[in-house]
Amino acid sequence: MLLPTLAPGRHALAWLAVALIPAFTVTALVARAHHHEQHRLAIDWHARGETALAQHRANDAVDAFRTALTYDRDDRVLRLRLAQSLMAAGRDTEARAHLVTLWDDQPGNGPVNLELGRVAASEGDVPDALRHYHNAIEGAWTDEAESRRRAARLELAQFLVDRRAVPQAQAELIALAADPPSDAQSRGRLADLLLDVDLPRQALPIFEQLLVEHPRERAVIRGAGRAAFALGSDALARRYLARAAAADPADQETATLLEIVRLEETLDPFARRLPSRARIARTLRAIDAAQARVTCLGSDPQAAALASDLAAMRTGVQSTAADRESTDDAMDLVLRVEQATATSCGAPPPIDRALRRIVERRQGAGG
Amino acid sequence: MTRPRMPGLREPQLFLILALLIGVFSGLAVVCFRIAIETSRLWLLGSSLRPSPSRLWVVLPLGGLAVAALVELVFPVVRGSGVNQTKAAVYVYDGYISFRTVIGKFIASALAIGSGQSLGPEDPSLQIGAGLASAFGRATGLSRDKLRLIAPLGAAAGLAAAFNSPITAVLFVIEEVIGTWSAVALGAIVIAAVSSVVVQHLFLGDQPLFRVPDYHLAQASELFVYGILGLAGGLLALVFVKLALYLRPRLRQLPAWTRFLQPAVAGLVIAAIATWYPQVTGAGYEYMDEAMHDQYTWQVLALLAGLKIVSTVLSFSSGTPGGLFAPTLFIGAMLGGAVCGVAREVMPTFQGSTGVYALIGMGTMFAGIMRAPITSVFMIIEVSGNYSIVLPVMISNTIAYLVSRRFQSEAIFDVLSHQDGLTLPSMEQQREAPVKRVEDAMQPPPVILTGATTVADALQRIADSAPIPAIAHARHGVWAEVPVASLEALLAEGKQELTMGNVLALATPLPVLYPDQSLDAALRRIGAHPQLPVVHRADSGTLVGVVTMEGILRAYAQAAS
Repeated sequence: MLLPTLAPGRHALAWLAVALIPAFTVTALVARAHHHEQHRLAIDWHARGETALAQHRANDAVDAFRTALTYDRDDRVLRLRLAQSLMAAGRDTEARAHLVTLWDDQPGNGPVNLELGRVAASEGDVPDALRHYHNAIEGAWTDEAESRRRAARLELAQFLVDRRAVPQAQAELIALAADPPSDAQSRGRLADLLLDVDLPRQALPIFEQLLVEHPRERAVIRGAGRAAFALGSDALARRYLARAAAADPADQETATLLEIVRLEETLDPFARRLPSRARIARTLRAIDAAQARVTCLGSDPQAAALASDLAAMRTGVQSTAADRESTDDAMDLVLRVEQATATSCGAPPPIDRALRRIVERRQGAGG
Repeated sequence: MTRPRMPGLREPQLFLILALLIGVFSGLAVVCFRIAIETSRLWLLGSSLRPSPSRLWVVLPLGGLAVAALVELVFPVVRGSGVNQTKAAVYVYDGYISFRTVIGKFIASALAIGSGQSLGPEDPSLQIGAGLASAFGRATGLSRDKLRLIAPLGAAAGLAAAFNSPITAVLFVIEEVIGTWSAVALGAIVIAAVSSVVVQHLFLGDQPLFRVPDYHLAQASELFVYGILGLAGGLLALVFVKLALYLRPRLRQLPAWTRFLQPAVAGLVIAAIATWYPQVTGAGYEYMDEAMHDQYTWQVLALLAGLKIVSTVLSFSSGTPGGLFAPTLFIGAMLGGAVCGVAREVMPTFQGSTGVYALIGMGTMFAGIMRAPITSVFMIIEVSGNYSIVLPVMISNTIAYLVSRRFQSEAIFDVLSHQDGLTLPSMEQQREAPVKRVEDAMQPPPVILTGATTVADALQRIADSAPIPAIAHARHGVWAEVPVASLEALLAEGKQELTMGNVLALATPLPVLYPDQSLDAALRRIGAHPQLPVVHRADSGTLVGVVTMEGILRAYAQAAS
């Protein structure tokens, strides 16, 4: 079949093809002006959001960032800031949705994982929090990557300490202690957390390093004292705790620790070069303290047995020449009393804590 | 019209090149249209997502007045969404859409949507594309057949650019405007849609319309929730359609001067709603994004769905130019999010994502209101770039579609065209119409003469087989009419022992039919033949019956009755 040929069509096509040039040009100019305006609005609303966030007006910041995002919906920083302001406003569910959108695009993004970890932590979702915090620690950061990774690990450790997940917290903190943050505040926090999870050996050098840099910082002096106390370094502990107590007389805990350390020095029957009479006197004082402590058990049959043992022991110590062996026996009995009363008599007074530390240190030393 | 016969482009080639140009120009037009909407919104309502109430109360009614003046005084044919107008151009006006309509639709819709009327840019984009295509078709002197086809082609290009979704646009135009899959139309439509989207990407970026988390079915019980979403979507779609179809004719029956005020009154009501819920203004894509990101409680989402229905019905019924696509998606997104929220409250172990449910809700509402089920499924896959979502989309959309059909026999665009005094073909009814096939008109095989049959035997058997004439199997797969007059002449010449193989050696083969072919095909082929052989598809030498003109007409008559 002979199809119609279209010369007029060719001419019209040629005209249309030529018309493409001005059409493209006009559209390009219009689109450029439009993009410029959109960009300007995004920056403007972004700035409003930052201002609001800095002034702790989280909901205003949310509105501003959200508006900014409509003008630049691909801006990941804006979406992250929106999520952060939503979290600041306590709107975690909304924040999570934006964070998940960001995470879908970049699962290895450090800041996004950190925020997701925070959301999961606030919701008590431990596995999710661990996953995202670890992703943040190993993730990509655009600037100051190492310090931000350390900060994320520190935050994770705090979360684990709060959740009483001590072994996991210890693992994170030991890793951090090997490569501590550079800023003093973070190191102080790290050292405090190390103390909280019973790692005074790692905490003390950090406190001491901080003391070199900030010798008058009360929290650091106090921390060093607590670390030395936990390590059983009484002389060091007494020195730091005395400074801390002098710096902050209202700090009851420091005062108590200092009292314990001082009591240890005056009560320790195992002290070197202690004359025999003094050792007997200290032993008897320990027995007296134990007898006073055991009364809190009331009519408990165990209390009666312990009281009887203590009375017999007192008599024995008084009647013998108070050799080291009888001192050991007496102090072992004191420890048994402290252990028996620990659960049912509440927090022991400083003297009991001091006695217990003396015996435990003795046992730890192989005595 | 006679055209000069000179070397040049043949019409199919011209048509394809034109498709490309239409796509590019439609893409450019839609880019400018979208920028015009956003610019007018910025100027009129400000840059904040939450415009001040004073602005809303001033801009919406005044914008409505301005739009009404434009529509009534300057561009009277730009009322409505644009989909029906494009269909009318195809089926009533031989593909003619005036260029003035394109200009009017562009200006009036940009002003209406930018001033906060609850309408979307997609349907006007569709009409703008169709109008450009129509103008180009006329300029290039296309034949009437091609001119009819060119408007849908531009419609697909316009919709594709507006929606950033070429597949959806192609499917929608085929499902709603053309109604048939023809290779010529499909190729050109695809070229136009793809080229317009490429242009749109060039100027506005290639990001998907919505971003939702990857979908995976966490619990089988979620399928039940998708079913509930489909049911709720179907019912809400009914509410929307019934309200629009009730209010629109009543507003049009009011005195003509009220048409100058109707968009302004709609604007006032929308301003009242938007004072507390500004999300109902405009197309609402930014708020859909918020809904997908868990920014609203399920109660707010449900309320927004209801308020958007009211706002959109008012805007649309008042004759304000603008589309129904975006509001449909908005209502669906809010509904989906609300259903997800309720499921979370009712089922403690429910892990569905609001974003996913909002997205599926969009498809559900689209299936329920637009009644384009295939488009609704592909649209969600395309706008999200997420194929794994197809299962819940299919469940939910199908239920919504069936519920909507159960209680509303005609699709919204069909009823709207009736209200406008036009009877346009209903694509839904066309899809549903039973197809009459050859087997419905087929009669049992008559006497079959083979190549070995002698002339004497043949004449004897023909006499016995009346009234159905005999048919001869000349050789394998070749069937021919028996030339009775020739046989009688041979008999008279004493050649009664001659075989049919010799007689039919040079006979013209009859066209053959297959039982599953449409009766239309049989009608086109039967011509002057008294009958046509119907053969087995696996063996063209096996005759399963014959079809006669009487049989075809009888089958059609039965279908009509």
